[in-house]
Amino acid sequence: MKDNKTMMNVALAGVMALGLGTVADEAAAAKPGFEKCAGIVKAGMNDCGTAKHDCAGQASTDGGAGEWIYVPEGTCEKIVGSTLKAAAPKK
Amino acid sequence: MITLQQLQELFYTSVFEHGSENHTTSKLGHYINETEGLSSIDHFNIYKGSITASLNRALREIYPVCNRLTGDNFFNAMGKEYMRNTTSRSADLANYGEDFQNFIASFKHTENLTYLPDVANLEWAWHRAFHAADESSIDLAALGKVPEADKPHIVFYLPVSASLIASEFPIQHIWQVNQSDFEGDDRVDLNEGGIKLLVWRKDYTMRIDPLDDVEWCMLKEIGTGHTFDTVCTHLCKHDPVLDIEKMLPILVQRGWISSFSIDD
Repeated sequence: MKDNKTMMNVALAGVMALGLGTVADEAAAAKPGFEKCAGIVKAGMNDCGTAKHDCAGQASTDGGAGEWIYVPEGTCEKIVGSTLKAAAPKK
Repeated sequence: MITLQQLQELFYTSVFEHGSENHTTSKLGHYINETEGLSSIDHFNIYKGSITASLNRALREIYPVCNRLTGDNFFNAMGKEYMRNTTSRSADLANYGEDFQNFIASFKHTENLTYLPDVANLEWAWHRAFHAADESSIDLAALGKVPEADKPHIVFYLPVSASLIASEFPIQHIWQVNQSDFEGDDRVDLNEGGIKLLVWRKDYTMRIDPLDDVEWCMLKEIGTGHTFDTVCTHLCKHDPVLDIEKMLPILVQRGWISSFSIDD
């Protein structure tokens, strides 16, 4: 059984051995994940102009026009296979 | 005579409540001035349309993959239902939509899309990471100067932008093939299995990093905010062969641990 003190010292020594200044640069390269430049997506989420553009058109369309549209029609049909519960007994 | 609170409640109900729109709105109409060409109800409907359109657009911006998976019409209808059920409690539009995944999980029209709540969870994590405060890397110079006696009291922190997400569905794959710039085979087999993810932001780069069990376990434990000593004890109890000495430097190097403090 390792004792915590030794473990912590070795772990911290390992962290220090990374060297100053290398942490940030290594972050992305160290592991294959998914990355995306944040600046180019979701621009203008808080744009108050949304209200300005939509109010006229929306005013007349309210009152439950969307109620009958409850059939998903997007790309969900590309997600194939059964749910996990059904998949579990697979041999 | 009506109190201010009653008027506000009447207004709120008229904007969001389902089914009673005609009754409450006509009641509210008594308190709104008419102008030439626009009745009091017209005035109100402009406001209502503006609010619901803004909130619906906010949901679309936060949950573009859920939108794409279900289609515009369905998503808009689902968004309206969500609005009626969820009061916005923040003045910041970026805080709207947090419990959308719970709503989807309980929404009868999406019960067959079992993976959808988890996809929404991933999108919310992405949204929060995007809007999280900027942060510099861990101060290694300061860490090196921590006195021996204080080492057990070190508390490590994950990036403020970080969310740990686990799903029994391949939500990262689903998310990826539904990005607007994705090219290739966009079919996903639900049977390909679950995934554990760390969603975070490093400077201007958004990251979704898949985690193995050891990484997940360590980050979960560190994320509780316990001291280093307690973290070691818990991890050893959980998995006696877990190599904390080797793993901690790796987590720091990847930027998954971004700061520390000394717990008094």
